[in-house]
Amino acid sequence: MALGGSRVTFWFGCNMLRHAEMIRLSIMLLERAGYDVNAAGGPAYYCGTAHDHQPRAASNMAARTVARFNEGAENDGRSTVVTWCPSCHMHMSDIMAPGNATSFGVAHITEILADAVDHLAPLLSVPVKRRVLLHRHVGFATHLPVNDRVAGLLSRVPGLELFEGPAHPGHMCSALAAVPRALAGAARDTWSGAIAYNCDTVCTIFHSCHRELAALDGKDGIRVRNWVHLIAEGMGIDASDAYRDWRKGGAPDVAAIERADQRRYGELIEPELRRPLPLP
Amino acid sequence: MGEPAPVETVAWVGACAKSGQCVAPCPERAAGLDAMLLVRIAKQRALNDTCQLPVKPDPTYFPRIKVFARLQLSDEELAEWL
Repeated sequence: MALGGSRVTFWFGCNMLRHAEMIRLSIMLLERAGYDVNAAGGPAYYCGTAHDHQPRAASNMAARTVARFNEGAENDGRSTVVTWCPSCHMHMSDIMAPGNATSFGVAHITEILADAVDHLAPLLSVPVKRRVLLHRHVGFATHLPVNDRVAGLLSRVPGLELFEGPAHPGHMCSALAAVPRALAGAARDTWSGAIAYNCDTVCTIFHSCHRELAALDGKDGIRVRNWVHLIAEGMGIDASDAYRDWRKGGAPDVAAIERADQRRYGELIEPELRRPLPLP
Repeated sequence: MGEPAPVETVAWVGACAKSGQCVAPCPERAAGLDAMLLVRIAKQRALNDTCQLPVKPDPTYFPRIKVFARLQLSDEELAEWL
């Protein structure tokens, strides 16, 4: 991976907007690794990967996103787009970039931070005394060894003991949704692995896995954290997780719901937050 | 329009989870063929051309994401990031 400079665009995708703290922590980690970060995501920067049934619309939206990143590269010197989402990364690498002229390179956040680990390591000064099972998938290895990258980063957190969980199919949990019982099987096998290794924490790598597993936080005395939460803990930074708390029965404060539109909250958000747990 | 594929092929294509386990063993890889990408193209054909896979549009996909954003992001973050 060769970076074009220290000014980057952090492309966090669409579904990461469920996890605002993880976006902010990612930006903070990139900044502490020495990068000037401009964050971008949501529908205006959609990759198109979830709309295979509308290929023309998806292609148009993908072209618009590439054009915006080209503007950032040409006008603002942001010649690297840093991805979070494996779907976005694969779609950019396999379809968007080959199909559109690009003025930027693409790198995954775990590549950039792993390359900067000697820069980050001195900041990891707070012991995180956890036995952590890493929730893994095999899929994204076609593009980069993300499991190894995250394990390498977590190995620099003082006090943290890391255990490799079973490697599930797909590139993240959402990829298993179309296969009956596969999603529940991944949750069950991860949880069984955590118990077998006497772990007190399950660590997710991607947002869709975090979305699935967060509601299990506390079950069998096992907490659920994302890798950016654990790195932040090692830096002594508060790493809250609103989505996890909402899935466990909490709710956003009233002012936030009113700001977001109470009717839409009831229609679109509450059903997701109140859906059954992935394990009994 | 493509030709309809055998039922087994459509089931296989429809169940693809993007594990990528097909990429390295593909005998045509050296010639530049990406088997996982080929399966994805086949899935698009089955959805849109031969209509052998059911389309499951989710009109709430973007609205839900926008509500999550407004629940959590500051005005400044909304303006700068989205």
